[in-house]
Formats: sequence, structure tokens, C-alpha cells
Amino acid sequence: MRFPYKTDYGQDLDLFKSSSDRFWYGLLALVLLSMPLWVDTFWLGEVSYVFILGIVGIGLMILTGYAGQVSIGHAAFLGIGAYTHAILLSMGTPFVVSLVGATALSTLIGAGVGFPALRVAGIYLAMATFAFNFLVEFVFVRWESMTGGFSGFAVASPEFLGVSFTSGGGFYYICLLSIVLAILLTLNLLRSPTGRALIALRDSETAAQALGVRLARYKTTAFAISAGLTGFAGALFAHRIGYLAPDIFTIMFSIQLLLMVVVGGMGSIHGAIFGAIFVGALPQLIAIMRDYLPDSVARQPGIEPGIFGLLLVLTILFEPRGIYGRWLKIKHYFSVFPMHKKAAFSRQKSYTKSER
Amino acid sequence: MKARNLLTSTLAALALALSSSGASQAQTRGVTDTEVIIGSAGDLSGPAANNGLASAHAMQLRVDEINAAGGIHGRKLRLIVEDAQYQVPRAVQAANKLINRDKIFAMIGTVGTPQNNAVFPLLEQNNIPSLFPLSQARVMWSPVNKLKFQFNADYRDQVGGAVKYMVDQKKTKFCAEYQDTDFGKDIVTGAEEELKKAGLSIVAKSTHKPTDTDLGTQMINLRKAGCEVVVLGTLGRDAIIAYTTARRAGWTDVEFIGVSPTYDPAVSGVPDGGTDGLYASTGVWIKPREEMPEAGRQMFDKYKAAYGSEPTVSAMISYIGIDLIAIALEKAGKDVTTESFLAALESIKDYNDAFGNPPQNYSADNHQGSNAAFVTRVKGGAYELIAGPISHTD
Amino acid sequence: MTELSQLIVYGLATGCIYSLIALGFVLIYKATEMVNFAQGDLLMLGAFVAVTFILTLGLSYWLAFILAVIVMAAFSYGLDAVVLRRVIGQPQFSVVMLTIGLGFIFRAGATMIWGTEPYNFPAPFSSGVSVVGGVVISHVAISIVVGTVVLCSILWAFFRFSKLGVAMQAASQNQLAAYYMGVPVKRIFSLIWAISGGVAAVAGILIAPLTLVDNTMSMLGLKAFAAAVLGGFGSIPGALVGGILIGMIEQVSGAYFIDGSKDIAAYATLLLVLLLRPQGLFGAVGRKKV
Repeated sequence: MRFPYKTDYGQDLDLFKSSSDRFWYGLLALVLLSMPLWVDTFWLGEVSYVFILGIVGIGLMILTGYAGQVSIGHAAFLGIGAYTHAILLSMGTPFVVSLVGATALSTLIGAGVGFPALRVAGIYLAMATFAFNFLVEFVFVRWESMTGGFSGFAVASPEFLGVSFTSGGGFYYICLLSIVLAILLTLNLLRSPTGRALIALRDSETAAQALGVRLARYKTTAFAISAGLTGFAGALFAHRIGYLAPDIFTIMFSIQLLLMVVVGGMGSIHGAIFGAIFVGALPQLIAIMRDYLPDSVARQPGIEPGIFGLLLVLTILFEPRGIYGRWLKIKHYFSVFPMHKKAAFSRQKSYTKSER
Repeated sequence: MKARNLLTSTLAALALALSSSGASQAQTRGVTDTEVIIGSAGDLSGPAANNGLASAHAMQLRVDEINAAGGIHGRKLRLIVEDAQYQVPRAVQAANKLINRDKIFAMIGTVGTPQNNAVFPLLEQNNIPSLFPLSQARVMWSPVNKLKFQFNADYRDQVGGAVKYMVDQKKTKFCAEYQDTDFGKDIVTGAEEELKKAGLSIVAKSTHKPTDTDLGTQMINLRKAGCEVVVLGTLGRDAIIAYTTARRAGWTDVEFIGVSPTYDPAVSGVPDGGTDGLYASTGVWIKPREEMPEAGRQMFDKYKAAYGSEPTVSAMISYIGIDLIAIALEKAGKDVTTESFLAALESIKDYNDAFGNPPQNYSADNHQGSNAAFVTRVKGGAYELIAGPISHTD
Repeated sequence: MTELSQLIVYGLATGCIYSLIALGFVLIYKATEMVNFAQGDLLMLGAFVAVTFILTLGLSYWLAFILAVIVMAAFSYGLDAVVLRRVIGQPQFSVVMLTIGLGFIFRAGATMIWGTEPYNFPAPFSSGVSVVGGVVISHVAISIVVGTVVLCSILWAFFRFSKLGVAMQAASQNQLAAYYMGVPVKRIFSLIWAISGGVAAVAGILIAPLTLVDNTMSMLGLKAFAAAVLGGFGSIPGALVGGILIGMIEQVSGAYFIDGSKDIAAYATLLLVLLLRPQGLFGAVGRKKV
């Protein structure tokens, strides 16, 4: 692990910790920006989807990974964003305005949901969001004049100067821009007093309270920001799916979203992105791999979710701290090579951590 | 023999060289010199896996038969089946793969209505036909879209036929018990339309979730309304629960009638004759072996030998679907384009499938092969034909 | 009045199933603080195993019942010993995700082993009904209620009177203290998983005559989860009451409120209870110590 020698207070605020970071992220930016030139429509579509999930992941990471509040109802926020955006578009609202509208509405509802979080915690909070997901799904189904009920409705795809930006390269750049903005916003948030308050909240509510962190305010803030980001991603998601129906935004989808942050690695933005790749791209990779297997194996029912589940279980068994945790270990191994010590990351023997 | 082969291939090469200036053939996506690629965003796992898997098996069976007979205009069919797991985001991912990576010529047998609705815009952008989906919703073929085809009675036609039959039996008080989904809604709409013709309406309605394991309340509510016929907008499990709950509660002066998902061996095979007397209306009827045409019998034997179970309605639908595609490809000729393929599909008249279902007719303004339904009833552990084919538009 | 009684009978039967699944959740949570999202999948496996014993091996219902419970208990013991024991002490939500992953594997495995076609579950009493004062009671419903009562009595006696049961209580109250007193905590945890797996199998077999046996059975776990929280996660009587309450609320709201309210009544009640009594109906009030 490398610790840069800081000579200036400004360095504490730097987004990049070292010049090598700067180099690698620059390279990544170049690769991503030039992607439409050397990648076909298929991968462009899949990478866009990973970006959308990545934004949800970041939103959920702020709430769960940083503020320590668990939500198994984020598909509801995704749905609220998607529906609001699509409905506003169908009323003739300009794209950017309806994007803002979708974000604003889900932020508001998020703040509302954050309210019960003041009273309940842990598994009970998770359960409250779980129930919330069902109620929102019910609204999507029943508010037929707005949502089209079960049958749903097709999402309009607006054009700008004759170029469709809801499919192909145009959509890719919108998703890329969105996720970069989301990451910058989150990084800045975390360096601010609000971000530090959220982390304090996660580490110990009681201690944070004793130090003067206002629980009510910060819990609500965390929910609002998280829901806002998710709603924003929902608007993009609406274009990706192209057709909205209530049974997209189910509790199972919420669980997959939560899966992202846990598998990716709690408490890091990298984790959210890794998680988005795991949930967004892995099923597709398994599907492609299936093409190279003989039909008798490839058409075996249940093979795709089976492999996905197996990889999930193995990932958590061998790296409970998530993919990002493993990434750090690998990086450390190479950066100190050949002086890697086996015990570098091992912790004390641990018992079940009690919440009681 | 060899010389002749050489001659044909030289001629073919020549023809290719000549036609390549026109470049019509080279541009048809999913069609190469040796292959036509067909994709299916089906389900191999998840709640609809039973239908999706049977469909995938049957499609492969027909594809293998066609390829073994030398293919179509020298091209083999290649079938790529994805696993959408009955989730819309996965269906969109599967469609993205089939369209942009595998470059399919046509899509067949996509499972589920919301999945089809989400996938269709992607197909339309790329001018890919959406053929014979495993969803009998009206939107699968109506309003007419040049890319959408469905061949058998959709849910509304099925329930239309069912209601017509029951009205003919002098029943007047109709109720509906349906799933709280687009599917259930489609059934109720179909029943209401048909009842209107007879000057009737639905007297009581009640809904449930696909995952409900108990319909006691619903049955009590319907019984209070004094229904004579309950139209079921159900799949298999909930049809059984509704029917057995009502009968066990001693409610016997009422008939229950479901649509094709209820027409399933798991429903008729409930132990101790629990579903005896339940009606189901279906567009594709599985005839008793001895009445089935020879081709159908052979298919049944082959299927059973290969996969160890009897073909279901989904299997038959997809088997017929591949057959129709093959006929249209044959008709469209060697230089097939999507347009000529679609025109060939529209020109199919009086097509009789391998299983003895009603003949199918297509035209430029009708993309549904047939809307005739069969009314069947459970007796002694199996569905038995009561009436049909009934077309509610006659 | 007859109608209300009829609704209560239906609600009681479904509620008992929710209770049994919730009981499985709570047993594991109380002892290990793990939330087992695969509980519904264990139920599904239990029903499948019983189907195999009855239809393939031709055993009688009662023998299949007992064997399936034993098989599932052994399976769950192994599951804990081989997989879950490794993640003790890891972040709680990693463990939850682990059980979700296991759920994926169980469902996929069930499809591979038993195919995609649903099975009809033959029970000796599956078509019988009795009429008591105008209320129709199906024998399946009776079997569910009786099964639940018997199982709960056995479990109660076990936890109250047997040495092992007391050791389990000790381990769930304070691991470290129990360990110092000579309780083999790891093995106790595996045994609790075994009990929980057995309970899931019982629930699966009891409800199987009402539904077809296929992998959508695992969805029952979700509503039972609501039941467990309603009663106060970590309280065994709470789980039982919560399950029955949710079963009843569903029936009554379905009959007397707008159509469709049956589906969300359970969740609406849950939200309300959480707002008024955040620790559930029977949950212990506790503030985390620092």
C-alpha cells in the first residue's frame, strides 16, 4: 500500500491521490471515450447498461455503504424515475427537463421514505423499504390513467437535430457523462462535512449522535440523495428497456441492486462499479459462453442462474469484502512485490458481530 | 454425381458474382450462403421455464429435421436460444445479443407479454420480424404491423370462443377470476366483448396475484354474486386452486372455464380427479394419438424419445412456427430478403399443421393465422374435446 | 358470520404456513444473526424431496414426510457446516447475499434435477372436506393447522426441557458466554440450521397439496419474511403470531376492501406496525451498546 507524502493541505482534497492514479484514470477515460469507434453496437449497449446500473450502485452505496442504511426497495425508486421520465416525455416535455423532473420527484419520495428510518434500523428498516417496494409496484399497477396499468406503455425516444440519443452511440455518451457526473458528485459529497457525517452514522449511531451529528437530518439526506441518483438512473433505464411495465420493478430486482454493492465491496465507489459489472455484464457473459457449449449442456434448464449463483457464492465465500477488497489485495501484492506478507490483510479472529 | 455438383456450385458462384452487384443478398441480415440464423429470447429458467424449455426443444427438433432434409435453398437453419428468465431487463439483454451480436434474421418464441413489448421496438429498429411469440396477447399481432405474426387464437379469441359456447348453453350470469396482470386483463376484456354481443355483462370480478396460494376469499365473493360461469384468467396453479377451493366448499352449480395456460397436463392430472369438470379453451388442441395426422404422431414420438416428456401446447406452437418460417423461406426463394420473406408469410393460405389444428390463412391485413378455439373439459385425468373449433367472429 | 368464520379458516391455514417459514427465519436469526433469504428455497427443496419419495420411490405419504424432513435437516446441517460457517464474523449483509446466491443455486439445481414441469402432490386427505356449522373446512387446511401446532409443541418442549435445547438457547443469547461454559457453539449453530431446514420441509410438505410443486414455491418466503418482521425478528412466538396475523389480514381485507388490497394489505400493515412499534410486535427493545 502506498501512502503519498503530503506537503500541502490541498492534497487532502485532491480527487486523485497520486500521479499514477492520474495516468490510469486518464487512460480509462480515453478508452471509454473512444469506445464507439472500435466496439460494436452489442457491447456498446451492454456497457451503457452497466453505466446505468453503476449509477444505481453509487446511489445505493451512499445509502448502504457509507451511511449504513440498508434498502431492499431501490427498484421502486428506479421505477419512479423511469415512469416519471417517460410520462413527462409523453407530455412533450424536453428531455433534459423531464430528466430533472424524474430526479427531483424520486429525491422527494426518497426523503419521505427516509423518515421512518429515523425510528427503525437494521433488518426492520430493510423490511420497511421492502414493503415500500410492494406499495410502489401496486401504484404502478393501479394508477392506470398515468402508468397504463399492467399493459404499460412504450417510452418515447426523442431526437436532437435528427440524431437519436436514446440508442447506440448517442445513448452511450449520455450514460457515460451521467455516471462521470454521479461519481464526481459523490466524491465531492464524501469530502464534505455531510459525507463525513454519513460515515460517522454508519460506524456508530450513538457515537455520532454524541458528537453532535443530527441523525434525523443526515438519514433523510442519505435517503434523498440515494433515491435521487437512482431515479436519475431510472430515467436512463426507461430508454434502455424501451417499454415500461410494473413487473420490471419487483422486489427481486431490488435484491439484485443490493447485490451490486455487497458483491462489489461496501464503502467504496469502485465497489459500486465492480458490482454493476457483476450484475449487469456477467449474465450476458454467461450467455455468450453458453453459445460455445454443446446444446445438451447449454440448453440445460436453469444453467444461467445456476452459474450466476455459484459465482456469487464463491465471490462472497472467498472475498466477503467484495470484489474491490480483492482488487486492493492484488494491487498491494504487486506494488510491494516481492515483499508481500501473507498476514498483510488478515484480521484478528472474529466472532459473529452482534447487533444486540 | 460429382460432376453435377461441380456444375451447380460453379453456376451458383457465377450467379452470386452477378447478383453481388445488386447486393441485395449480401445485405439481408442473418442470411449467409450456408445459414439462416433464427433467435429466440425464451426462458430456460424462472417461472415460465416449463413453456420456454418445451418450446426450445420443439424448435430444435423441427430445425434438425429441416437441416437433415438438406435445408432450405441450400441453407441450414441455425437456432440460438437465450435464457431471459422471465425478467424484462434480461429479455432486453438477450435481444441485444441476438440482434447486434448474433445478427439474427428473425425472432421467434419470445416468452411473456411484457418481454415481447420491450423487445419489439429493438426488433423494429433493425427490421427484424417478430414471429409466433409465446404470448397469446392481442398486441402480438394487432394492430397489424408488417413485422408481427401470430398464428393461433389469442387469449381474447380463446375466451371469446369459450363465452360463445357457454352462452349457447343458456348460461347468463358470468363472473371472472383473473390474475392481476396484463394477461388477466386481456381475458376479462375478451370476455366482456363477447358477452356484449349477447347483451350480457360480467356480474362479478375478482383478482389474485400469480403467486397466491389461496383463493378462498375470491371464491366466497364470487359465490355471493351467484355466478353460473366463472371465466378464469389463470395459469395452471391458480386454476387448480380456484377450482378445487370452490368445489370443496360445496359450490357445484357453477362452471369454470380457463384459457390455454390452464389447458395443461398438470391441471388435468390433479390426483383423485380434483379438477374433473373444469373447462379450458385453447387455440391449439392436442388430439388423441389415433386421430392425429401421421406427421404429428411422429413428432410426438421423436420428442418423447429425445426429451422424455410429452410435448406441450408451447412445444406444438413453436414446432409449427419453425415450420411456417421454413415454408416462407422456401417460397421467398434463394435471394431472400426480409421483405420477400414477409411477403411470402403473408401469402400462406390454407396451411394445415402436423397436429390437425384449424387451417391457417394470412394476408397483408391479417397476421393471425386462425382465431378458432377448442372448448375442452377435464374427465378422468385428461382434457377431452367438448366443442370446436369455434370462431367467435363467425 | 358464517362468511367471516370461513375467511378465518382460510386465513388460519395460509397463516400457519407463513408462521412455519417465519419460524425458520427466526430460529436462524436468533442464534446466528444471519438472515437466511434461502428459507423459501429450502421449503421448495423439501417439497421436491417428498415428491420424489412418493412418486418415484412409491413410499407412503407419512414415511415420505418423515424422510423428507430428515433429508432436509441433514442437508441444512451440511450447508451450515460446509458453507455458512466460513463467513461467521463477516459483514452481515455479505452473509445475506450469500444466502441469496444459495437460493439461486437451489432453484437452478431443482430445475436441473426435477425438471421444469410442476408436480401434483398426492396426500391421503387432499380432497376431503368437512362442514362445521356451515363453514367448509378442507382436510388440507386441518392438516396444516394440526401440523403447525404439533411441530411447535415439539419444538417448545425441545427448547424447554432437553439439554441440547437449553444449550441452543444459551448460544443464541450469548455466544461467548455459552462457549466458555462448554457449549460447542459451531455445532450448535449447524444443529439450529438443521432444525430450520426440517421446519421448512414440514411447511413445504404441508402446503404442497394446495399448490403444485415447482420452483415458484420459493416465493412464499417473501411474505413469510414480512410475517417474521411483523412479529419482531428474533421472537419465536412473534413469528407464529405474525404469520397467522398476515394470513388473516389478507383474507379479511380481500373480502371487505377494494379489489386487489389483499396483495398489499400485509405490507401496508407491516409499514404501519414498523412506524408505531419499530421493533415489531414481540421484539425486544434494545439500544446498541457502544
